[in-house]
Amino acid sequence: MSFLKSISGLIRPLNGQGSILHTSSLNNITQIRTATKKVSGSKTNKNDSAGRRLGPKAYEGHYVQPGQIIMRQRGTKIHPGENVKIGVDHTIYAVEPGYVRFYYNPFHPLRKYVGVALKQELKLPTPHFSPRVRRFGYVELTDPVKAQQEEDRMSRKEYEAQSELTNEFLKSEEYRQNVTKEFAQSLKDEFSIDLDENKLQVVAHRFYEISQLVKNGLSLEEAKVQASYNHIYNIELAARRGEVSNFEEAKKENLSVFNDIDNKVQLDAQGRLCKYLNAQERESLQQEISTKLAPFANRILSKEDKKTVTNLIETPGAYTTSEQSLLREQYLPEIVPWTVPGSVIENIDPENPPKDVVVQRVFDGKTRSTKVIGRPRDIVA
Amino acid sequence: MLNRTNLTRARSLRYLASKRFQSTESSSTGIWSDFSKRSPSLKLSNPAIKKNIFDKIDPSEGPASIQNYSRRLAYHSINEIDDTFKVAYEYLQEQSAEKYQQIEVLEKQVAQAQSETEVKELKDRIEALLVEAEASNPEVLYNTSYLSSEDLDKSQPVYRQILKEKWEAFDLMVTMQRLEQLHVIPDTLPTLDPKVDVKVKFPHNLKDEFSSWVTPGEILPAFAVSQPPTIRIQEFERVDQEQLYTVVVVNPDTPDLATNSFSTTLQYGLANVPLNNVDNTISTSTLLTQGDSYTFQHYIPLTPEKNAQNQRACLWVFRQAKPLALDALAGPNTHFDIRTFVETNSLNPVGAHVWRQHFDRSVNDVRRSYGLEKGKVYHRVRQAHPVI
Repeated sequence: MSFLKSISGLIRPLNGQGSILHTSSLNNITQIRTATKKVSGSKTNKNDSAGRRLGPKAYEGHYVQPGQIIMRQRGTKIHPGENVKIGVDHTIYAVEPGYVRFYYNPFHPLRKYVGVALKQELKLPTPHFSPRVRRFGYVELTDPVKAQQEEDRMSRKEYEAQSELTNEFLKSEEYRQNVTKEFAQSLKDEFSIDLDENKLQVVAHRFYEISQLVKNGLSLEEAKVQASYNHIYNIELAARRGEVSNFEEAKKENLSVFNDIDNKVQLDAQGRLCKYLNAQERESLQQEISTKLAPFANRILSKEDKKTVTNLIETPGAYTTSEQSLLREQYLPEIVPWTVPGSVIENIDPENPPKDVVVQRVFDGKTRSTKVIGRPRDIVA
Repeated sequence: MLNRTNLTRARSLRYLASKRFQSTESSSTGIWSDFSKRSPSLKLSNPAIKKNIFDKIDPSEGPASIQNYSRRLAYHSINEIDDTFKVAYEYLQEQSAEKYQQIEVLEKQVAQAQSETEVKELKDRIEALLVEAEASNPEVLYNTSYLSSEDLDKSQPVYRQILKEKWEAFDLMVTMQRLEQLHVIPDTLPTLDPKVDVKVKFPHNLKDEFSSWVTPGEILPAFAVSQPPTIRIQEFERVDQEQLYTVVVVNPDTPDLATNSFSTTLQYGLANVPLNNVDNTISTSTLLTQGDSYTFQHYIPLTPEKNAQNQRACLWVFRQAKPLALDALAGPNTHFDIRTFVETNSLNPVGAHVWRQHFDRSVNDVRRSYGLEKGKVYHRVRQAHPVI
């Protein structure tokens, strides 16, 4: 009260409404509510919500179906174990039918796990080194019509690839037939191989296979063995099916035919049939060719020369593919080296170079400066 | 910078003078040029490249190791590399010579050794020294860096060691990842301590996309696996005599409708296959000539049925402790228990491989050629029937 007394002199006396304080005769102050409104509520005691009904929904030993919820939780109070998965809100649900097991995992000793055992007698976790227990779950279609329909059913991807696959197959089959036919013809005409039509087809097909296998990176010897084996293996399967009575005899006979042919005919690096050459014959042929090749080394070759060199390198049966590529590098380089006489023309006028000469600016290592040279167009292969 | 190179040069020249290193030719008389006791496979076989490494590179020729002519001309050697190389080479060669002296002493001890364990121990030490003696030989390093592993002489410990390191750095990791993630372990055998590099290919394929080495875990169509595979088993440990191997291919995903689960089928079984460090492949020619004497289960490719999902062909390689009787191994191939098989025959798993298959349009043809009956067809929706 003494405080009000002391400040009463400071309050400006007001007339009419709107005053907040009325001084009574007893010098008391009475509060009066004016026409105002409180807008928002208070924040106190607003923290509670209804229970989220968390907790286990299936207990130890309960039988659950795939998709059935086992546990609702905030965070991973319990971790997902075998045959269960965890949702975005950490709900654990079964993915296989079976019996719920709550367990500890020795690899994570501080975690609790829940899983589904596929059989009632099984415990979890499954021992670390023992095979997983797995459920197949697919049912056989016994109706033959439905089974055929299901077998023929294609995925969209497979369906859309059909035309391309068929085209590719037809193309490769046509190629195979053409090559085999050519081989058969050439075996008959050029090498006068006397075999009945069936055997000839087999031999020609074997040469086709050898040519393809060599393209795949096998050596010629490996390819020969593989192609023989392919044929023998087909006979072996026929024997297992009971279509061939004496497999061992058939194997021997076919191998001897292949051996005979291999001693007469072979496939060269260009994929053509040629006369079989043994190691000695090949070496002498190679020597012969290299003496013929020698004059073409280290000079600029004309078009005819190039053709002659190519023919020499591709002499039937003389060189393997890798040997041929080495020879090509040596005799038919993409750009003739500077060391070859006549391949560098010095002291040319870069403004008016002679005809068929390419002007090049090169670095000269000896003088450590650049210089202008001309090179004939023939140096490029 | 200039001072520093000059200094290095002066030092190296002083060293060369002290060594009376007069020759500019590569034909020094050190241990690495002496092939009377060392294998010629430790040599760099290309004479042009060898000359480039040991002598100066002629700037008008360029290094022979570069194929392209203009790139070859553009190559410039590092300053002072030739002198530095010579000094380093001499130093390393001297160290190698010391190792070879130690080896000679150990070899004498081997000749006098009493027990087998002692011999083995000494041989292990010799092998370790042989690796150390050649590990920094430039010719060996060139061969291991630029030659394919097939062209290296695996009878040499140093090549085996370097190949092992390469294998551990990539192929082994891929294999182990696939074996674990596809649950080959523990669905077939409990685990694997890998010792050998196992590679598999199906060389009968005329299409090159299926004829090369199979990456572990690859999904292959039935026609691509319709004939027995070629299997390369590369041992990195020394094989003194011949080691016998057993190889099996099992399919742990064969549907077992009686239990609504899976059973294991033996698809291929070979035993008593003799291999060593160099002769390391069960190839087509092996199968053609000696196939019957090794086979206790003929190869049957996996032929998954429609809607039966992916199936794994798990290939296991075992070292044998002793020769096995093929007749005793043969038996029904269905409901095959690989764990008992390994235990009863005391086999030691040293390597594995896996490829996968599912139903495709070539399965029916393969079934027909193998005389198998037509495959079942399953409904494409998986049911919730429990395991029995």
